[in-house]
Amino acid sequence: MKKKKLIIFGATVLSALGLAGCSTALEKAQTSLSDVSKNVLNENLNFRQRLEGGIEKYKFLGANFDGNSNGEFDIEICGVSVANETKEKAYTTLYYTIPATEFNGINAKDSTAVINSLTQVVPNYEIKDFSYAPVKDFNNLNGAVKSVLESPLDEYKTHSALVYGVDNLNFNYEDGYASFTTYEDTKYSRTRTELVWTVVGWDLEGNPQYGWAVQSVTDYEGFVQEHNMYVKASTEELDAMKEDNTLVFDKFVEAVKTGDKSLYTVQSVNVVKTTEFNTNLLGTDYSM
Amino acid sequence: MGTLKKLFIPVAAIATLFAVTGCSDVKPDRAKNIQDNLISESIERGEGIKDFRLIGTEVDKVGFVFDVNFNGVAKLDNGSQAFTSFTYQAPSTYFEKLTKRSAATNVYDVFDKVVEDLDYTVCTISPVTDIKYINSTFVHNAPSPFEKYGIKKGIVYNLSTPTFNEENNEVSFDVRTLMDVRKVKFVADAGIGFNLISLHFTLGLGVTLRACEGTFVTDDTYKFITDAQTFEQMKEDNSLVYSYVADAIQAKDNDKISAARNTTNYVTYDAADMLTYFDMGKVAEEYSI
Repeated sequence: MKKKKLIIFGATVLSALGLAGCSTALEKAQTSLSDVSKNVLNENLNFRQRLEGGIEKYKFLGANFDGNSNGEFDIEICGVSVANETKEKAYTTLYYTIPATEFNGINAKDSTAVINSLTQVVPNYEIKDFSYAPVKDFNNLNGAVKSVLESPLDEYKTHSALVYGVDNLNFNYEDGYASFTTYEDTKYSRTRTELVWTVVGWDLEGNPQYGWAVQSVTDYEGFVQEHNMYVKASTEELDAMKEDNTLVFDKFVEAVKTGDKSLYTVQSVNVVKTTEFNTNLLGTDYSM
Repeated sequence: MGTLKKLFIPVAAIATLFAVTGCSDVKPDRAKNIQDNLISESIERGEGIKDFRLIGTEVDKVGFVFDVNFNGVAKLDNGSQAFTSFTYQAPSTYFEKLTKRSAATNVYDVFDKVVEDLDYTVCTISPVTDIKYINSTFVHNAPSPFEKYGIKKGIVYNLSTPTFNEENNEVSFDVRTLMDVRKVKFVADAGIGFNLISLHFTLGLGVTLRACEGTFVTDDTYKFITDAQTFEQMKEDNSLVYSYVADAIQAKDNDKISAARNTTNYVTYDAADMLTYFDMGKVAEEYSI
C-alpha cells in the first residue's frame, strides 16, 4: 500500500552552525591584523597628511590577493576605520606587494591562518598605498549595495552581503558621474520544493511503505565579488563630493532607493568563490 | 508511529527540463536578426566579412554609455575564419528595463534596437587557421573558475588581437570563454514530516542530490615565447599566433607558454547566452574552404 506524506524540511540549521564556527581564533586573528593595520596607517606620513589626527580604530574585514607575474601577491587589506578627532567613519584599504614565498605552507582555505600570516608579514614590508573612503553610515551603503547585487548562479537570490572594501573613488566631470569600486562578501540562497518518491514509513511487520513526499530545501553558495558603481552628478555636486567624499555614497544610496536606473549603474567586475585564497568574514559586522 | 529514517533521492531534473524546453528557438531566431544587421553593416563598411555567427553579447556597463559587444565567428572574404567582435556604444537608457533575469525576447528587443539605431564603433577581427581546433584546445585548457564546479560546456567567444614584445620575442593575447559550470553535491538533511495517513509527526533523515549551475565568462591571458624566426612569421600572419599556442598547449610545452586568469564574471544577461544553441563544429564545417 502506498502512503502519501508531506515533509517540510528546514535546512538552515547546518548553515547557521557553519557561521557559528567562526570561532574565537578567527576573531583574535582579525583583531591582531586590525591593530597592525591601524599602527601602519597612523605611522604613515601620507596617511597623516590625509587624516591629520590619524585613526583610533581599524577593523579588518577582508583581503584580496592577486598574484602577479613576478611571483608576488598584490594584496589589499580592506576594513573600516574611525578617525581620532572627527570620529569620521571610512572604508580604509592598505595596499602591499609581497613575495608569494612569504605565504608558503599557508593553507589558503584556512581564513585564520591567512589572516595570521598577514599580521606577521605586513610589518616587514613598506605599505605601497592606501585608500580612504569616508561614509556617514556603513549599513546604509551596505544595504544599497546588497539590494543591487545579482546572483552569479541560476535560481539563487541574495541572502546576505557585506561590503568589506571600497576604493577607487573617481569624479568624471565630462560625463557627469562619480564612481567607486566595492568588494563584497556575498551569500546567495535558493529555496525550492522537491517532490520525491521515497520510503515514507514502515508497517507493523517492518516492511517499507512508499509514497510521494514534498520537501522544501535551501542551498547556499558564497562568493567574493567586485563591482564598479556609478552615480550621476552635476558639476556642482561633483565639486561638493570632492570636498566631502561621503556625499558620493549618500547620492548612490539615494539613487538606488529611487530605483531609477538612469541615475546609477552597476558593473560586475569579478566573481571569486569564497573557498579560494581569500578571507571570508561574512559573519562579522561594522561594529568596532 | 515512531521515528522514521529516510533516504531522499529527488528527481530534481523536472524543473530544469521545463526551463530549457520552454526557451524554444527564441535565441537562435533573434540572434539571426542581429547577425544579418551586422553582416550588412560590415559589408557596407568594407570590413571583408562575408558571414557572421553570434556566440554571445557582453554589455560592459562603464558609466552611462555602455559598451555592447557582439562576439562571434566570421567567414572572411578571403575564405579564412576569424573570431570577430562588433562594439557599439549605447546610452544606458537602452538597458534600464532589463535585469540579468529578463526574458530572452526582451533582451533581444534591446539588442535589436542597439544594432538598428546605432553604428558600431569598433570591429575586431582575429583570423585563425582552424576555429574548431582553437576553440577545442582553449576550452579544454581553461580550468573551471570555481573549485568543485565542473565545466558542462564551454566555447571560446572572443580572441583579442595579439601583442608583440620585441624585447623577448613574446606574444600575448586574451581568450574569453563562455562556460556553463555545474556542481553536484549530496547533502544530508533532517526534518519533521507529517504522515497524512497516520496523522503523526515524524522525524526524517535523508540524503539529497543538489546541483548548482551558472553561466560564466572567463578572461585568460596567454603568453608565448618563441625564437626570432617564428616570432617574425607570427607578426606577418597573426592567425599563426593562436595555432602555435594551441599546438604548444597540446604538446604540453610549458616552457614556452604561460596562462593567467584575469577575471571571472557572470553573463550580463542570461537570456542572451547562446551557449546551448551554438555549435562550433557545425559552423567550422560551414566555414571551411
